[in-house]
Amino acid sequence: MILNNATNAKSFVYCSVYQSPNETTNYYNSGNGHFHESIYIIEGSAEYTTSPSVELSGDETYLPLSAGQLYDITNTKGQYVITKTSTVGASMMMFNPIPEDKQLQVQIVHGPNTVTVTSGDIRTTVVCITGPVTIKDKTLNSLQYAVVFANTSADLVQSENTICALVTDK
Amino acid sequence: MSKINIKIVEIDQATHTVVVKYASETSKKNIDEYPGVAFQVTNFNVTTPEEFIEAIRPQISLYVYHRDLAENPPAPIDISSWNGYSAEVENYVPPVDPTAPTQVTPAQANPEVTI
Repeated sequence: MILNNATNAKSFVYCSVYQSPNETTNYYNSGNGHFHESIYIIEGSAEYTTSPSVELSGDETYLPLSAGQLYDITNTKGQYVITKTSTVGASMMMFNPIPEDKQLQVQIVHGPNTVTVTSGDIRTTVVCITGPVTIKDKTLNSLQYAVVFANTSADLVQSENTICALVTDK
Repeated sequence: MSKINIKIVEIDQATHTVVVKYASETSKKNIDEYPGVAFQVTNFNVTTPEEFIEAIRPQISLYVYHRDLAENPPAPIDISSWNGYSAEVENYVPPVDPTAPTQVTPAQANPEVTI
């Protein structure tokens, strides 16, 4: 697995990783900024299971992870998460709250799309997964983020094949 | 290539820690006579002892190299005739390290865009 990027966006960390084909990883899903609360599969596919122990019983059931899907994996907290790829690898983006008990609300928006991001009492962080996109007339390249502060709004303009995540605290 | 022997001598399931001992073919003592080194298994992406040994092999190889060097110091060399020797050689250019971190992109250097 290659960790391409990890960025602290103040209330959470987002990190992009690539897991190569036929690779198995085992990750203890815990810790402030380390607990993967949700995971988005950018490209490829994988499957995962959880185990209370680092040692597997062999009876685990693996669940699929498919491209273009966001998965809430809150239930894996404090467990070992085993992720396997087969003939294709998987590019993934993880969202890790700080502190770990904070609940994030993540919404994935695909381009082409124009949307007004409006924050209520809580700010919204726009994470550019695949860019570039434009927010409030400023360019957001891949892996950059912008904050739409509370009680403000900003227009997000996405062209074809771009992907953004809108992240707020629950 | 010489062989090294790595042996897990103690485990602590609660902390996922193992203690290993190691020795090479040229080590002076038996492997069990050397002190152990502790590793936390969760720091490695492994699930079997074979994968774990493979993961720590580079580190252990370095440890055993330096320990063997200390145990078997090289024989003294007669350098009495070296004084005054000179040579013209090619300038050394370090090889590119494929494992070196790649250059940081502007997006990584400045991840936040203020709007």
